[in-house]
Amino acid sequence: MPGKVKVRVLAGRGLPVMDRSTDLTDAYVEVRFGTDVFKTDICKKSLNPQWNSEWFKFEVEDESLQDEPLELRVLDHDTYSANDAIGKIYVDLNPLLTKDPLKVISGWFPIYDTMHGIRGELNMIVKVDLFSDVNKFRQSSCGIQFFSTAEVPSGYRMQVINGFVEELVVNDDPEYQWIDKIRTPRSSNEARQRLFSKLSGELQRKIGVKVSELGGNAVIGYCQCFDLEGESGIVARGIGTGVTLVRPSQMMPPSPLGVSPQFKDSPLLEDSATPSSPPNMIIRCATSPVKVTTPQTQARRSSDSDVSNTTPPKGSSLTESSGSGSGMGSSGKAVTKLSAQQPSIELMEYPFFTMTSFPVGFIVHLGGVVSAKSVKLLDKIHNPEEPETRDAWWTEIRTEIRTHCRAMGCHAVLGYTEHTTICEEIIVLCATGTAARVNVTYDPASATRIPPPIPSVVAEKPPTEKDRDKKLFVDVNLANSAAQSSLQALYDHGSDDGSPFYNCQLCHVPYKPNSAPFPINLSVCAICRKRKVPDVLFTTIDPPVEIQTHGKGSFIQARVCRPKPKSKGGESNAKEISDGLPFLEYELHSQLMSKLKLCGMNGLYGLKIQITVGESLLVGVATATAVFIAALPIPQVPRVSGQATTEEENNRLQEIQKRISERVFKNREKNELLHIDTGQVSPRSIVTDDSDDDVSDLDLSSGNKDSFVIEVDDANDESIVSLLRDSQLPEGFMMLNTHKIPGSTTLASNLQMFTQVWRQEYMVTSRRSFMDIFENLVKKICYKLRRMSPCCLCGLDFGVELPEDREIQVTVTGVCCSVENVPDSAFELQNCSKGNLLKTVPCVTNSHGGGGSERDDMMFQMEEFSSEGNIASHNKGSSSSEGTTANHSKVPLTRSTKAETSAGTKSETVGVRRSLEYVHNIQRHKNSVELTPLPYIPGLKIEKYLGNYNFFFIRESTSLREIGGQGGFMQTFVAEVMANVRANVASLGGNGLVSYRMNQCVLMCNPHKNQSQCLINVSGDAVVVASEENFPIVVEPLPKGSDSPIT
Amino acid sequence: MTAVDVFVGNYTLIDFELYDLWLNGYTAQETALFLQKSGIVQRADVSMEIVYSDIQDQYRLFNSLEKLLKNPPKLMDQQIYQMDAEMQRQIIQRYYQFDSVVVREILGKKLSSRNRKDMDDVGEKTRIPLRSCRRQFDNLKRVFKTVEEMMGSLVENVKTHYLLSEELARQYAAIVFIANNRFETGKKKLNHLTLEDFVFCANQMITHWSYSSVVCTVHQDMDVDLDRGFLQDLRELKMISEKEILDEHKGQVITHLKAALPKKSRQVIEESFKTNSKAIINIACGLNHSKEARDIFLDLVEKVSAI
Repeated sequence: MPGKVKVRVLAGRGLPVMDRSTDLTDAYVEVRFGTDVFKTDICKKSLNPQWNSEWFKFEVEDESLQDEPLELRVLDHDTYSANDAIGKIYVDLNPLLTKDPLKVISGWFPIYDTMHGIRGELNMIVKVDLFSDVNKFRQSSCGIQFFSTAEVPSGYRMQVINGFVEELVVNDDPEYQWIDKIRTPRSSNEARQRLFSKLSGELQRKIGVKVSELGGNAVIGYCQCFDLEGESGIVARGIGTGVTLVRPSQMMPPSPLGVSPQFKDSPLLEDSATPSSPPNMIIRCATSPVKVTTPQTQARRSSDSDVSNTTPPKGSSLTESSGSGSGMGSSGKAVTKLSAQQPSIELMEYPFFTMTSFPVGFIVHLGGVVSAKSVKLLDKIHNPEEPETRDAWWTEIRTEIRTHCRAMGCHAVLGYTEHTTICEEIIVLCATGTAARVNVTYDPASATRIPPPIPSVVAEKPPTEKDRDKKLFVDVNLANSAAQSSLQALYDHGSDDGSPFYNCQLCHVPYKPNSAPFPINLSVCAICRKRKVPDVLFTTIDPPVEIQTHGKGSFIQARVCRPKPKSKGGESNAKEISDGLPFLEYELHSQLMSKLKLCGMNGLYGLKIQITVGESLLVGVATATAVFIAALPIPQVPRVSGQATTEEENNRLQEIQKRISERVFKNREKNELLHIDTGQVSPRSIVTDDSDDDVSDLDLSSGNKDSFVIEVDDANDESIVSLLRDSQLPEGFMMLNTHKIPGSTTLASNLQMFTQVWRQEYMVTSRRSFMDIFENLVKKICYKLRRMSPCCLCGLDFGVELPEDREIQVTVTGVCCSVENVPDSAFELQNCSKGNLLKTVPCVTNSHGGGGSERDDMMFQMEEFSSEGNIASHNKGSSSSEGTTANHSKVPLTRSTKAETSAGTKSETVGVRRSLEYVHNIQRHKNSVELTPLPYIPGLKIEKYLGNYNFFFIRESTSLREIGGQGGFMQTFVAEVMANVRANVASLGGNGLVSYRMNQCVLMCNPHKNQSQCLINVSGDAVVVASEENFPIVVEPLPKGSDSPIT
Repeated sequence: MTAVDVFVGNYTLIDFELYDLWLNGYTAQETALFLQKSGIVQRADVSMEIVYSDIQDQYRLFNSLEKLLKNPPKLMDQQIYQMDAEMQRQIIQRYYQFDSVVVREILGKKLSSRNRKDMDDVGEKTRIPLRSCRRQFDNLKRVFKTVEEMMGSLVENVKTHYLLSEELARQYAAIVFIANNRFETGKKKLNHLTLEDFVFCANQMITHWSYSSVVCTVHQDMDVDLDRGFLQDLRELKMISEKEILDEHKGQVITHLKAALPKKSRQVIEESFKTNSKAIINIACGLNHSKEARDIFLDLVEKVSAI
């Protein structure tokens, strides 16, 4: 759709002094879109200019509207010399390209200069008037929404999964063009930044076209990467899952449970943009069952909008989907729908899903992790300007993944990700996912509860009254359970009714035991005692609500670093790498396995394996969250085996065995796994009746008692020692890398999103030294956040780069959230914190007896320390002033919170709110913007998605020493990036960015030249969040003695 | 050596313990040492390297905040560091907080770069780190330069341009007032007077004698200066030193003080009333000569309090 872009520049503030003689600036603004340029007047001699310009109007066609960013350039006017640039602002117009007429971008934007960083701010308004293009031969992808969020966005319902979408665009890198040699660094950086922005727009547009061809209207789990190949160019890649989303009508009929707050829409956002459909569809829909049956007018309205809005002509019949749709309109969170529109999984070329959380009932069986890697040579690309070669590479990889997946008896890949690592002319392409059997067209949960659902045919004849009733019944139920389960995922409080139905079926192996693709230990499912389960389950997805777990989740990381001979030319180097990769992977796997056993757990979620190639190193880091899955057998304590020839060696072996046993016990204790009553089937579990299987010859005794054996060749074996050296997190901290929180932990609120960048020279000395890097980083982060304890670090993402020879760079992003404790774990609480009473701050313990308060004590006694001076008293005073009792005001705030939390369920929220105030008590009123890598913000609900944000920042400095060295440079840059993100979110009227990711962080230093350059790519979904105060959620504590907490 | 090691949060949180050490002029190494001595390593169970990295993070932050702190309204407006208003107020307030002993040394000196060089002497004398002394000197100079030429109430001007608390703004106003009028405060005889004494006097002078005082009718000038008209009028007081009027004045003052003072003090006043009254009136009459006005504190100490 072509459109008119209207821009008005209002004012600036805090501009830098550009004219030394007057200490002032004569600023004006150039507004550029494509080739058209407008200028404001010059506002003489002011650092806070007021322009109040007219509306600058650009008439733009569809393509460039999506590709090009709007560019504003602030300059200082000089009468005699050339005008000096102050800085620039890029505005991505894509969030405005929806049909919502109210959308406008307005606010203070940081004026960003690649050489000087943020220099003042500019206030402006941007609007876009779209008009529909009647030419139907033109495929436009305007209005296709993109979500980084790897699940169904809250407040939407997923109607159809249209399938995997991918695109790849190639361009020259301006940095490597000859012209760069004569350009100033600033114009070169700006050229690059513009190019990145354009590529990203083009990529999204092309993917958008693909999605609308498939009949979808949105992309979720969208992930975009840039490969900086150097000489051969820049490759922008995007993958995602094309889906058809609908927004249930805002006025929900009261669902039986009366909850599901996050689905209530604000009045503004009813039926978000979806392409229009030809009229003949409507006629067919008129006969749709729902139109007749839906009891609520509102629901009918939603079905109306479905009808008039969905899918372009290719999309297939709507009737069925809209029919079921309105039935489900009552709740919202997606439940996979049977609909004629839904392409069957067999028809998808790549049955890949980039989402990490799925609607209840979608996953049938989880197979395991599949991955494929390929080493390629960049200098062998025949036609580097064209994407063909890279396309072929990725096709190869994806085909391999598909084959692996089939070998496991699965037909779908969930939590699918792709990444690359480049070192000079070598590129390694990696793809990972979880093989699974899924149900795209049919919901198994419904099958267990009601008679077989109506076959999904287009309604030729009006269905009978009875059928309709049934259908409606199913839908509401399903919807509720879905709503509830997503609630659960967020708040993790199980109430008795409506909690998700555990389904051990997910853990059952998708293949016949005798046709396992590789030797594997199978045992009988601990829940249904019928089907076979593997002894461990590795997945790349977030914990599905249907899988029952015990205790807490635990962060696990395997790190391997292998030296590699220096490059002796492309081919041999490539061979070296591909020969080394299997060993690297094997070692990663065995480390993961040992650590998992040491934790006393049997499942991994959110597994992310990152392989990095450097000049002389090959590094692999695998990160995951370990859990205890109830259906899988209890892991045995690893047994040490080795050839002991002398008494002394034997003793050492026994010593190791003892330490391992102790460690396992400690870990179990910490993760609340000591009192698992296995074998007892949760009352909430569905015992799947898989009578169709030949279970008759099942040997129940085959419940595998073989324990995991750790081979010790030598009592000083490094791997064992380092395994045991793996330090514990300080008390009061939890770490997870998944988005959903498994186990008995509930997040209360966001405290702090953080980015840690670490870089150091590294020589391979021992395995330990490499492990220590990560251990230290984790400790460092915990120390940094010590004042927020007890807390949970979630969504942790580690990125490893080997930027130069002998240098290693690690970036960590994550969010620190305060936790609520599920009261029923009081027993464990008492258990696990014995003997520490003395250290506790007396008044807390006194004021709240009871189990919980003992837990308050933590390793970090920082608060007391700081209160020795009068230093901390100020911020404590301010935070605790809010109605805390006198005793509390003496105590560091987080503690009193904790004590209260354990004191009772009702006060939990109050207590937690207060701890939030410790961090930002007034921020809430001051338009603060929350950032988080999670797809939600605990304690807040997402009211509206404002658009996907994706931007590439470049920053360079030629006065490195003056700005505090590389550290100062990076610190400022990261802060500036976040500031830019926040300003963009705020200008759209938002106050949060979810699914925040730092996709790239490339730092190039040249300290001898006093120079440094850094590229950072960030993305996420801008949202409006509101506090839940208006939606009091009735949170019921789990009844005591019930089986483990949910999810 | 670590090349890069930074931690950046979405919310900028200030560790006020480190902030105060930084303000006191401790370098990162010194701070680390200080914390080490206080036993942080044992308490938090971390290595010194981690503590040091945290200190460096905060110090880098403070250094970049320092540019903004020189212009506090800018700090409130900026978007780079997401902070709540309370924290912003805190860091401004603490940055502008000064040590009385240091400012007492600076008081009455011209705030020139030559005197800034003498800060190491001040530092030695007061045992306050040089960096901190310099910061206090620069703060004074900056505030002085900003409000020196400004119209309107001095205290209000300091408050709006530096976002300080009422109390602190009052102190700055007094110091600016003293500096602007170049009152002599550094003579040996005045050594026993503290900064607070001067601040009290200066604030009284601002309230009652400057252009913003209630009785002043011509508000054309700023209250950094004494009201010229008022000083002219003071000369009329000469008549009080005449014999009969002096007695009457004495009688009235004594009755006035009857309620407020114990008998003994009243007696002291009664005894020295004549000399003191004469001395005070002499000082008052001389105030319209700026040279004599400058010595007001000296004169008061020399000629009046010598009871």
